[in-house]
Amino acid sequence: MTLTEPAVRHTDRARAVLHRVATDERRHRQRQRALVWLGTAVLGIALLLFWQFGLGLLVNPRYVSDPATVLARIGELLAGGELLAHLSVTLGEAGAGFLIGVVAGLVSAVALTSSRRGYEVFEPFLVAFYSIPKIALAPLFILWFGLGTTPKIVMAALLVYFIVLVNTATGLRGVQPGLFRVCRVFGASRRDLLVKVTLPAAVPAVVASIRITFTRAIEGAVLSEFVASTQGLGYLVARASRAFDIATVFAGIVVIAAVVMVANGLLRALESRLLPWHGGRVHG
Amino acid sequence: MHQTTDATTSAVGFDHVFKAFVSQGRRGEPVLALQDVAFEARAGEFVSLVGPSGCGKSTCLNLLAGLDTPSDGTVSHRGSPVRGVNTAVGYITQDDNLLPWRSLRGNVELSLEFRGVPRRERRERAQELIDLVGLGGFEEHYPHELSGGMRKRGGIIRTLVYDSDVVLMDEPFGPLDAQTRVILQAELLKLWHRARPTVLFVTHDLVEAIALSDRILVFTANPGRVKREYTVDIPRPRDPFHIHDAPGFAELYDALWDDIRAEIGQAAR
Repeated sequence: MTLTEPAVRHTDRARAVLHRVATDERRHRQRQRALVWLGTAVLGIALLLFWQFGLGLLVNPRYVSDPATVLARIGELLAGGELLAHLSVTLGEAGAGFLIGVVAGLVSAVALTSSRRGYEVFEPFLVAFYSIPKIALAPLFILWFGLGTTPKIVMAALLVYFIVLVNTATGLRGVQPGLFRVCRVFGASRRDLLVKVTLPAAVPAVVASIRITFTRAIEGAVLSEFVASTQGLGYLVARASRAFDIATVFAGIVVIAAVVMVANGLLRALESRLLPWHGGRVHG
Repeated sequence: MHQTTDATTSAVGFDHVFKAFVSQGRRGEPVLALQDVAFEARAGEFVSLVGPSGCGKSTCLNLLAGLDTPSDGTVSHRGSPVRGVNTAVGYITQDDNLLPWRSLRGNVELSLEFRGVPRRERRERAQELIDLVGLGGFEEHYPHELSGGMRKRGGIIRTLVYDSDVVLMDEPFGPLDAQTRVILQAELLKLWHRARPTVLFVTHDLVEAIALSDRILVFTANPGRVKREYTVDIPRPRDPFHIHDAPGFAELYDALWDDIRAEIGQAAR
């Protein structure tokens, strides 16, 4: 008695049917994809046209630049090298804060969840710190750490830290108990359980939190620059707005948005590369 | 890895075992799950535990696996009491509990990894069983890419791969459809004949219990106790696809069902 499924043999007719269905499906998908692209393009152009011609009717046109001017200003800033200098400062602060926040968040989460009572002791404090609008701390950080990059890194790291900590701790605590029981009988040591069960099980939550927090790192850096700084994209925007240089304000905002989108795209690609076993996409 | 136990020594022994659980509620009143459970299983014997839901069958397996400790009495494995997690047994649950981030091969090799078996040997031992249950060609698939029956096969062979002398199975075929169940029963018998471990098998399916077992223990409803034991005389090798036609099947089935129906009535009151 063999118990494997019998190999499927196709007749010519069946092969023809399969071929037709496959072709239809391919065509259908292409059409759907084209529709989505078209819709996206139409909406994008409509938004730009509204900005160019419509926005001035709603608010004081003196404070509304237009897409053409903003694009030209981005070009000027790029050519002058100013934009790249500010961008690299902000990215440096955000990147450093991000790395510190992620590493500290992961380590704290593993440490806290390794004992259940330990987590319960820390939890109310975590919730309290998590609830503080961190930007309210920015003036303090400036007083403590000066006008340089340090307060920006601290702010970025802090925003990242709590999100990574809470998400990772949730992931670590949410592992199916059955996995533990089976693996313990299989002979897993405490270390085996951590390395081969707990950590991998928490990976989706960790990766998702890492992706969403890169945006927060940039936010933290830019907002701190707003409060007080001498360089960075936040400084560029803040200085321009004080000088009523609206085109530059918009240029800065557009660049920040573009940077965040590119970073998100890269992290998303990395995420699906890192988690081939995860059937669905992880949502942050 | 096989312990040399002659047929007279018991592989598994429950000696007047009691188990009380304290519920998580505010009251914290303990509830008795097992009451004076006493039975033995010989080396190489296939024993099924049947009875109404919540009668402590799974608790018996957890005690033997060392995941729980008896409140009174002794649970022994190869003549010595179980202390701490018993990694010398195999433990198969209703959920396949495959690690979603590991391929089928990675899952089958997992227990051998924990036990420090060298890579090459892991490969060979895993491959033998993968081929035996017809999963060749799916080694690199992740669990979410396999059908329910395939995952279940994977879950069973990854436990059998370390050749423990006792295998505990807690309703392993519970969530499967009726046809896949019978196919997997046949596969399980094939695997069992390969190394002849002692098996403690919890099930609600009386046909399944008859098809697979040498002996069937009927448990009482709350608290659980061995009410009666039946020996299954149907000769081996058995064919689960035609077990209904085996001599004595109908009588045994009726007797088991009468016993259990009385217990279900008891539990419902």
